[in-house]
Amino acid sequence: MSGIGEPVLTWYSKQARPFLEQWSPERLPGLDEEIQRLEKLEKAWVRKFQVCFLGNSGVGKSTLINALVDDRMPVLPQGGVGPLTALATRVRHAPTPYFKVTYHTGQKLNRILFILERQILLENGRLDASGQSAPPSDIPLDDEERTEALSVVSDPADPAADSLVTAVEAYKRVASLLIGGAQFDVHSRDLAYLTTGLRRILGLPPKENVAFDPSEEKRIASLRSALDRAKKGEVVRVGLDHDQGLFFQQLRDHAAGFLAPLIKTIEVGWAAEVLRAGPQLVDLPGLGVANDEYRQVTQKEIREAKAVVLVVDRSGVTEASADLLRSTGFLNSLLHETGNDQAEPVLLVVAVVKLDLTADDEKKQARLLGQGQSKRWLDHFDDVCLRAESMIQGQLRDELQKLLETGSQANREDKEAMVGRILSSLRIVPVSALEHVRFHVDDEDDRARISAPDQSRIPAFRELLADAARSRNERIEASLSGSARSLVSRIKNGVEVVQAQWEETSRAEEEAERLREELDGFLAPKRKLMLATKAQYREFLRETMKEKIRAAVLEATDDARKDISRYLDRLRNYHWSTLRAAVRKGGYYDGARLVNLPGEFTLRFEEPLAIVWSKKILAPLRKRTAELGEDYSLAVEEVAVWAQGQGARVNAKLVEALSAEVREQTKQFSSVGKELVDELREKVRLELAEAIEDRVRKRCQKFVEDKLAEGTGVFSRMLNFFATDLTEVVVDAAAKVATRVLERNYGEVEAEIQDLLKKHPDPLEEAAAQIVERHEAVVRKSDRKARQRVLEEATRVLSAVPETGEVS
Amino acid sequence: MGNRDGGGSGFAGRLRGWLKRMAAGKTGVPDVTPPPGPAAPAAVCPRPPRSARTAAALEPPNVVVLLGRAGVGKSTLLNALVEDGLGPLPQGGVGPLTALTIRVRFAERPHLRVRYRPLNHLVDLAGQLDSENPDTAAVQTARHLFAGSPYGSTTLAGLRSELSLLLASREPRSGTESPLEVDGVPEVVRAVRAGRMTRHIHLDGNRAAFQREVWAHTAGRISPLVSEIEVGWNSPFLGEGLWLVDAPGTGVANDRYVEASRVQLRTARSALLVVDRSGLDDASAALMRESGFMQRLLAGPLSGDHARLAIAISNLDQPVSDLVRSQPDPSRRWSDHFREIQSAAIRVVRGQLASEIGGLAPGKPETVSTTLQAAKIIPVLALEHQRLHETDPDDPARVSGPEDSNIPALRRHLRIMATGGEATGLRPPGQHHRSTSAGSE
Repeated sequence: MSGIGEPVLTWYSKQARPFLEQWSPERLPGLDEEIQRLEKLEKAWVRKFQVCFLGNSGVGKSTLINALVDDRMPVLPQGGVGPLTALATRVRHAPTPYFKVTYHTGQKLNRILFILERQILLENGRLDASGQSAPPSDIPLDDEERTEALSVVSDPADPAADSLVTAVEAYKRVASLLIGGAQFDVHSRDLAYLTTGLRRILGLPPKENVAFDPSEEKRIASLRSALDRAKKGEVVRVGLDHDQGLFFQQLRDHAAGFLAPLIKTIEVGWAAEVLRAGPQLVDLPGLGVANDEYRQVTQKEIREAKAVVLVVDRSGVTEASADLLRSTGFLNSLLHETGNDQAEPVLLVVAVVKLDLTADDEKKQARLLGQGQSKRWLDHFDDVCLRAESMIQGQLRDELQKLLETGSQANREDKEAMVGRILSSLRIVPVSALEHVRFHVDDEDDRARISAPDQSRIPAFRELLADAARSRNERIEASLSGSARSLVSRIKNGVEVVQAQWEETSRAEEEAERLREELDGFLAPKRKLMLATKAQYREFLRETMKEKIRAAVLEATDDARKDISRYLDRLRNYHWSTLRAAVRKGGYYDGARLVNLPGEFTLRFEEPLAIVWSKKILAPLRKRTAELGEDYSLAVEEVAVWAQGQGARVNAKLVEALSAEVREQTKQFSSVGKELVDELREKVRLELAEAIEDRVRKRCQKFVEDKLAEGTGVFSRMLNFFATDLTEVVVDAAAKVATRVLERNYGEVEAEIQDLLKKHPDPLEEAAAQIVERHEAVVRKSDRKARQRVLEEATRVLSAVPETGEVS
Repeated sequence: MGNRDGGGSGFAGRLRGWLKRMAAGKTGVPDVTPPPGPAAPAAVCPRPPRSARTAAALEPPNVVVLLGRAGVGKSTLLNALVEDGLGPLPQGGVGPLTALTIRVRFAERPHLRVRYRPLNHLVDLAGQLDSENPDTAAVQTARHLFAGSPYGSTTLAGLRSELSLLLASREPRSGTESPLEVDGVPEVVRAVRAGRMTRHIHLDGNRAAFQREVWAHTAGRISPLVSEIEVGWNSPFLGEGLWLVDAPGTGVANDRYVEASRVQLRTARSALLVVDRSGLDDASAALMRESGFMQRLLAGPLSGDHARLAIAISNLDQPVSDLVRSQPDPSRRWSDHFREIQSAAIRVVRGQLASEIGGLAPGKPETVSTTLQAAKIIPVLALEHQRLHETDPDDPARVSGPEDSNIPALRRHLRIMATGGEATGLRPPGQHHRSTSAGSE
């Protein structure tokens, strides 16, 4: 797969570079830089192709992945009861099965133990909510961690504590899972028991006198050894040798069992054909289960994903799943792709599962209506699949359309184009994982209703994933070989120019003088024109772009403000105590419903800013710069034409090499800021998030300090506070940050341009200088021996030019 | 309970007055919105037929509201509860099917009672479609009306012209009123224009024709025109005033649905929450909290406003099949595995419920544990139940006896719950399993 850039790098460092270093050192800085770029690109090659499976808990993500990966064997734990997958599990290709895990260190458990022990104190009335009277604790946590952990512990006497209690409940569940092997087993193990167990796992002295169930010792021992391995930074790899039962039991313990809370990463290798071309399937924690604490994991994975499979059932894409795509920033990734042909495209697939059940129902109902007696199950299934496809298409269009409700007209068009692109690249695959497995297992008691493997549509889905991986590989390959090709031809041009210069027979001094005078005469008007062109371009960089940035930020801010007020409107449907918990916690509260004011605000800026950056700033800048490059090329072309008219006085080969070189160089002009596109996204996100979080927290604090978060009318007071005070502060801060980030980013692009211009200060002079060399150089080249050597070396370098594929 | 205040209630009078104005072509503000919730049975049918004014109907109905995530199978379960074969409601299907709150109650002769929305509703819809940025919900309603599904690609312009045609349509030229047919959107609009706001359809030997009407009104094209709907079914389970109310699924992108469910829950005494193997879902939990249902659940039986909850765990078929596959053991039957999964599922859901209500009653462990114990959690196999009674050789049931599906157990429990714990005086519902198929009448 790899190795396209590598021969180029070797050829350059071993042959071309030493040659140029001696005979044309001025070319090296530019070429060295390009080589570094190629190396970077080569590294990006190995970046994994991650396909994330996202969907409501219980919808059947793991079941679907299992059917894709293996016809019979459920590789991942599936189909159990309760929220199963508690972490992101990665499945990748391997010739022999294995799974590999890394564990969290004890820090995570220390925190949980600390919180639960504080809760015990609190419930026993030995601690007030502020933690002031807290007795010292032997749990190794630093001050900051303690303070943070204390904010979770709640005072039952506090009327707003509802929501906080659920947070403690969540930690209790984690402890239950660790110690008892089940999350929801609330009543058999109380806090004292759980904390005693946690202390045993962490190797801390017991505090309470609790009789510990010996049957739990085995789990405790496993957990202790896991913590031990984490401390040593070990990766645990379990291979499948003989005992399949043991392998799957261990996998289940890790992926969905008592070890799950300690898992940092987990990866399963399986010899699946669908994974051969490189896709890694990531099974994300299910969403939508009350009080689930795994949202963060999902968000992180989705942000890095290049493909998302949204798994839905017959209800289709509900608001929750659409919201998820948005709040994880995935829709933003799709958005960035528009108007930016450099970024890697992102793939969205909607898999509709469990339609076999719907087909069952339809068949029964058709019989009731006395119609379609002859219609077979498969016909019903195909029919249901067809309807599901058109429904999903419609639902997604509607959900995306909602994103467009506000915004200026100009951006609206861009966004509409985006919706069109997303929909046209969207793939909808209705499948029946159940029938697929039934067909292959071929159990007499549980007959499949399909009669050929294709009918489950799982094979088609596999093909889709493999295709996506293949076309991604091809795309990277094409981009890599494109860069390699252009770099090779630049280097080649450089060598050829040197070669041509040395080939020239030395001419008489007075003839050279005459040639120079004539060329000067020819160039004089062109020089003036070139000066004016460059002055205009500088003006454009200095003034026009600055103005554009200011206008763009204004526009984006306006969009964001409208969008924020729509979001705030939705908060009306939340329970007042949820909102108050959020205000008290500085704008973020993940309880019954997620309230993430800073996050939501940030998202709403990120999107319009990305659009204005690519559409309003980068696009015109590139266009204008490409025009300058065009002017450069044309000017040199004219010189070349002139030179060709000079007959034997000028070396035709030299002129040709020259103008090829200029053409190749100015190609870069149209792709300035290439690397900065992806970087900007991260920068905007981080800086905006930081500024907004800070402002929201401070304002919320003040709101609470002013005693506005209590008493009657708190709900409308909060909504009013969100809509006026908070929005103003946030919009103001965000606009400043946005201007700063965009200006800085622009500054970087400008520097990149200046650098390019410095490398080619004046194409006319360059061309002239090459044609009519200075006298000394002519004299130097008249050294017959030296000339012989240069020409031989040049021939050797050129004969070793690496293969970089056909020129498009 | 409007019909308990005597025949001419204020509401009915208002309605009649408005109908008169409508008939006269005056489109005033149709303030005929009935008081919300199951407490207003009269709203379905402002002038209930004589047969309805029986002693049983005068008793306050015992209402059980079904709620749960869209697609989890509320309607399927409701069907299985009221009928061993295929029940009257549309089940399965593609998309969140039930957009309306559907009431199912006992009727000797199965019926469909519908109350349509006033014409102004369509006029409003037209106004919304004409605005610059029409609301998605409005567009979806229009698509449902004209394309048969809320999610389609019919253009806005197409919908606008269809709607204006519909609003302009007059009585058919023949002058005779055509019988209401499936997809008869124009007929419904003409009927409403003429002041006929309600519709009663009785099952008349032809089950297929009846079902077509029910499905068209509950989930089909006519459903956007419907404001309230009631299905009467000859099911012994529904005898003695047990009403089942099928609320729209939660988690769907339409606040109107959520509001409808919230209204139902605000006054409901009993609710049946339907969950799947992942258990309690966010949206349903939020709905129960925000409607105050959870708080009333915690209030305890001594409070006058006490609520009761049962939870049905549906769609366990697949986990069972997975278990069968992963632990091949010829000595164990499918239903044995189901029993094993049942207890695990109950534990999970009970634990989730515990942490949900634990959060609402901090520091009151007794209240929490009493409430937990009172909430019955029953895993059910609605589809297996149907299979057992359908006896389709191509699609055999995997359970062996009727009790295996737990549907009979859920029926017994719901009756007890709905009547406030007084099981005495009820006919044991187990005797009525061979319920007559209404179509055979």
